Amino acid sequence: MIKDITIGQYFNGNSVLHRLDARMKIVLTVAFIVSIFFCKNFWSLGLMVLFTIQTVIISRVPLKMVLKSIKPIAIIVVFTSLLNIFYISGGTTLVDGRYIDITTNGIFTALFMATRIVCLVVISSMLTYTTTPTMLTDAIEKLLSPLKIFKIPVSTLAMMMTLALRFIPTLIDEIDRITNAQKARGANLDDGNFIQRIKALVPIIVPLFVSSLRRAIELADAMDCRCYGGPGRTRMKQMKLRFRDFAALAIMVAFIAGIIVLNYYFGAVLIK
Amino acid sequence: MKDKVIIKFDNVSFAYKAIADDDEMAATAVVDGFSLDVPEGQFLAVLGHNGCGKSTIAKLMNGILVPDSGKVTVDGMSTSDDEKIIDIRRTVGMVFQNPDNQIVATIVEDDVAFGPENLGVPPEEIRKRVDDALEAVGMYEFRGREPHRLSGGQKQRVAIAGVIAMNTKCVVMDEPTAMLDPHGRQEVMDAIRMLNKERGITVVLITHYMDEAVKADRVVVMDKGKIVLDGEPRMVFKNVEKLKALGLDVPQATELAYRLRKSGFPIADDILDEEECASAILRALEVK
Repeated sequence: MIKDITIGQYFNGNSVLHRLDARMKIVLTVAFIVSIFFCKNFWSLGLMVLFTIQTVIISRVPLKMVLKSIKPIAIIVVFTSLLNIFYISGGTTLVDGRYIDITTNGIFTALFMATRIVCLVVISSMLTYTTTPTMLTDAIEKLLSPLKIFKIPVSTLAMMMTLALRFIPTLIDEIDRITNAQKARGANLDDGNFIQRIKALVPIIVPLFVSSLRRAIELADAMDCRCYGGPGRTRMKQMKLRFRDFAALAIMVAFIAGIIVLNYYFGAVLIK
Repeated sequence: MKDKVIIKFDNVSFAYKAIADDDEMAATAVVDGFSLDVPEGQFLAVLGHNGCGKSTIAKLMNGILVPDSGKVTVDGMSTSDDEKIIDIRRTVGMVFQNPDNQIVATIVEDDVAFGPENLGVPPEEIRKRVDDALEAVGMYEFRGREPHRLSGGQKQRVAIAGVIAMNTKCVVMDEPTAMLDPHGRQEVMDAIRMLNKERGITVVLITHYMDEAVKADRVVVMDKGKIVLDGEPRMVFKNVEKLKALGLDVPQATELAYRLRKSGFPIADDILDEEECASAILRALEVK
């Protein structure tokens, strides 16, 4: 049922990855994404793939779910690969066509690009699979808190994110209710061409908008009543970096060092 | 301490201002010359039909609305005083009608922690208060759940726990059971009674359910922004005709006794619930 949706794509589990501090996970994910672009030869690329696979195994997230996260980007991967194959020149020419050449450089670049994109998506989805949305927003708030000196209202932004997440299921319920009410009055939502269908959504979106505003006003009152904006907000759940977080950091540092070393020893695969 | 007044309305008037079609300010007085004392520890029910100003009274009690004239004081602090507003709200908590619109967090325990977090309570202390509040309303085992998967009654109990965790002296509830099924209503009423009897928290319950008002220490009936009846439930519900004229019902047992008496059956006029009614009828029959 629509009520059973989980916000975000959190996969409930208790692996080491789940227990890592969310802040550390975000930092490590960013570090990994940057390191992806360091890989210059097949050895470092292989290390990256191995690291990605290892991460998936540790997370104990079912392979099916991981593959599901790659599915939407499959087209992009294929498309960029083809473009790279056809348009990158240099290296040994394999096919000498009239308009397009296929070169080793092209094929290698395509291979690198595809692997990089897939690894990037898999690792970022590992972050969202093993971290609840609440933990993510809390971590983002903490990580961005230095921006407070530039007068950026970080905690207000984090609160907005939390509320947005909180109200997704509520609004889905509401859409369900309004849709049924309009159908009961004879609204035809499923037939017609594209334009007609979009027009048919208007009687759903307008009431949804009105009721959302009403909700917002009530919510604001309720938050006022609970002293939001009061004297110095504290948090019940304190984030604490533990040994395992530093261990994870050490592994990431070793991984990046490994990639740099492999790059240095085996040189770049692309021929200028 | 029993006689200490916690919320005091002193000749309060309030009107919602709306801009009418001709751009003039149209104002209708919702609350008009309203005075009321709520002593500490009391369980007060406020009754009245729709639009009689009872929700406005609730919002005036902790400064969401401020009176146009007159004064509302909470524990000696005027709600019109902007500097005292946080202190007022940590004294008088509030539970609203729609449970969905007052839960702010995506996890039950985080929501209960919201109030104390805003008040700057240290983390370990918040943990203790949250666990205690959730135990009190019987929602402890749901602490890690997502609010949107709970029933209406459970959500409303979470909202009540959120107020308990703030350690308020008084809780104002604006029709907390109006959107619930009978089972949910029972859960919430039990939580309210616990709050009042076991924790000594002053409760102001705004409602239109007579059977809920019966359980209060004192009932205030409102009409057109004024108090028309005020007293113990037994005294208030005696006025069956007056209540009916105001468009209100009386508890079913009271109604039955009233009709019996009207048709000449000798039965007392201060009957509140089914049991009292049954034994009164029995007694009357035995006398005959």
